[in-house]
Amino acid sequence: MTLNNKTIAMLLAAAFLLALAAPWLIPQYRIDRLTLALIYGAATIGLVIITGRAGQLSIGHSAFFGLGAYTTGILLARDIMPLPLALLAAALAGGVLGLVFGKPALKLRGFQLAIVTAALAIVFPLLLPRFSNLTGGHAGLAIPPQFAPESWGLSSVSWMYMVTVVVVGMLVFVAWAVTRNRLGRALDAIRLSELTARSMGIDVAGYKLAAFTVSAICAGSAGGLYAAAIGFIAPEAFGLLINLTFLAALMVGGSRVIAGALIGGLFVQLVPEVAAGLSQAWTQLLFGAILIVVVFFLPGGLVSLISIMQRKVSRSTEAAAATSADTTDSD
Amino acid sequence: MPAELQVFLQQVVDGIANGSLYAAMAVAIVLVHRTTGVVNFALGEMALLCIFLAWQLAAWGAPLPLAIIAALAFAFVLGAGIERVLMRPLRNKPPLASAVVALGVFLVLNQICALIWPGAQREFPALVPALNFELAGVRVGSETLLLIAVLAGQAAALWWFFRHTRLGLRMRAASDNPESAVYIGIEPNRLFTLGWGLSAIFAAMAGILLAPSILLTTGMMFPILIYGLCAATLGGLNNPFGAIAGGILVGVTENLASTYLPFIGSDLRIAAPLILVFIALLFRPHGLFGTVQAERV
Repeated sequence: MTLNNKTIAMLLAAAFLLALAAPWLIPQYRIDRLTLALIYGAATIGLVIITGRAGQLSIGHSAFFGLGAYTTGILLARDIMPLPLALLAAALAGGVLGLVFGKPALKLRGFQLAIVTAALAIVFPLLLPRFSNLTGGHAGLAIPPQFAPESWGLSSVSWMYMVTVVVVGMLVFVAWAVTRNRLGRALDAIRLSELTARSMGIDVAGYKLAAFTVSAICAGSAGGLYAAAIGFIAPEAFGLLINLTFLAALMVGGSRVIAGALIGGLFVQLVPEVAAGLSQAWTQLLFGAILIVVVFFLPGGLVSLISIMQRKVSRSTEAAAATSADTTDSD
Repeated sequence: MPAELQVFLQQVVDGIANGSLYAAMAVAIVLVHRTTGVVNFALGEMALLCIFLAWQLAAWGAPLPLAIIAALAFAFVLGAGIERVLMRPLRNKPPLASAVVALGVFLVLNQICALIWPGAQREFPALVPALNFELAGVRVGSETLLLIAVLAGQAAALWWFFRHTRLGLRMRAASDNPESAVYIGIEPNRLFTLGWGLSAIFAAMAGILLAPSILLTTGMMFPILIYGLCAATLGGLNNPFGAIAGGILVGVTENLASTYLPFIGSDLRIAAPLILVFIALLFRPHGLFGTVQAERV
C-alpha cells in the first residue's frame, strides 16, 4: 500500500483533531506529561532540520530553548503580554539568537561546530544570574498558571496542553513546508557533501543559516511553551545535559523525519516515566545505552520501522499475488 | 619586583599548571581524532572510571604507584576495547553516528561511576609531598612542578614516538592514508586500536594528576574535557604539539581573564576559553597550528 499526499494530509488532520481531544480521553494527571513530550518533540523538530537534514551537529540548542523559556517567562510573570504573543516573542528571540550566533558559527563544520555550539550551551545558563533582576537568578522565576477564557471551562493543565498542540502543529507545518522543496533538497546535498553542493551552485552558507535559524525558532518556541507549562524556570534546567535529551529524541525517533521528532519526544518523556522505580542514575544510564543501541541497530530511528514493515507487507502481498497467479496459470 | 607583576606571574604559573592538565586531555583528543577522525566526547568519563579504579585499589591497600599503573593499564584496555567494539563498525558511517555513540558512552560511564561510587567524600592520596618553593615572589608548589614535569615528559615521549619509532611512523602513515598504508604492510585497524588505547592513557593521566587537588565526584572530569576540547580545537585537531600549546594557552587565559576582567569573575571562568576558541576559529578555522587538509569529493 502506498500513501498519496491526500491520504497523508487527511491522516495528519485526523491525528491533530485526536490530539486536541485528548483532555477528554485521557485522565487529567497524564495530560501534562503529554504536554512535555510534545514540547521536547518541538525542540527536536529543530534538530531534525539542522542535524538530521543538514548534517550539522548542534549541542547548543538548549540556549535557544532557554532563551525562549526566559522570554515567555519574563513576559508572563510581569504580565506584559498575553500567552500567544509571549510565545511568538519566544520564537522570535530564538530565531534572532540563531541568526546572530549562526552567522559566524556556521563557517565551522563538523566537530568544530559541535564544540562552539556546546560553548554556547555552557555559557548561556552562566549568564542568566548576571541579569537576576529580570531572570530571578539562581532562585529561578515563577510564572503564573495560564487559563483559557472562563466560559470554556478548561483546567490550566488542559489549556496549556491544547495551546501546545496548536503551536506544535504550526511548527510541524512550517518545518514540513520549508524542507519539502528547494531548501530540503539543498540541505540533503549539504549533508552528503558540502563541497559537491557548493560546486553545484548551492548557496551553502545561506541555506545553512536559514536552516539554523528555523531550527532555533523551533527550539525557542518549545522553550516558551516549557516555561508556560511548567510554571517555573531556573538556570539548571537549560544546561548541556538537556541537549543530550534532544539528541536522544532525534536519534530514537528518526533523525530526518519530522514525525520522528514527535515520536522521539514521546520516548524521552516516557522512558523515565516507565522507569519511575529507577533512580536518576539508572535513567541516564539507560539513555546512554539507548543512544548507542539505536545507532547500531536502528539507524533510521523508530519511524524507519514503519517503512520496514511496509516493505515486508508489500513483499508478502506480492508473494501472495504471485502464488495466486501461479494457481490460475495451472488451471 | 612590583606587586602587580608578581600577581601576574603567579597567575601565569598557575595557569600553566592547570593548562598542563588540559594539554594532556587535548593530546588524548587529538590522538583519537588524527587516527580515526572521531572526537571522543567520552574521554573525560573514561578517565573518571580510571581515577575511581585507582582510588579503589589504593583504598584496598595497594601501593599508590601500583594502583596508578593498574588504572593506566585499564585505561589502555578500555580505550582499545571501545575502538574495537563500538567505533570500528562505524568507520564508514556518517560522523554523526560516532559522535552520538561517544555521547552515549559518556552517559553510560558517568552513571556507572555514580552507581558504584556515590557521593563526594573520597579523597585521592597526594602524588608528591606538599612543598612550596618561592622564586622571585612567585609561589610554586610541588604539585605544580609535578604537573609541568609530566607535561614535558609527555611532549618528549610523543615527539620521540612519532618521529623515531617504527610504530609511531606507522601510525602516522596509517592515519594520513590508510588505503596506501596497507600496501606497505601496515594494518591500519590494529594501529587505530593502539591509538585509542594510548589516548585513553593520556586522558587517565590528566585525571589522576587532577584527582589529589579535589574531592572525587562524577562531575570532576567534565570541565577538563571541555577545556581539553577547547585546547585541541585551538591548537588544531590533528596536531598533538598544537594541542599542548593550546592547553597552556587555555589554562593561562582562564586564569588571567578571571583575575583581570571584572565581568568574567569566578563564575564565568569557564566561559573565557570558550570565547577565546570561538574567536580564534573565526579567523583560523583549522586552529592555530592545524594544517588545512585537502578535501575530496
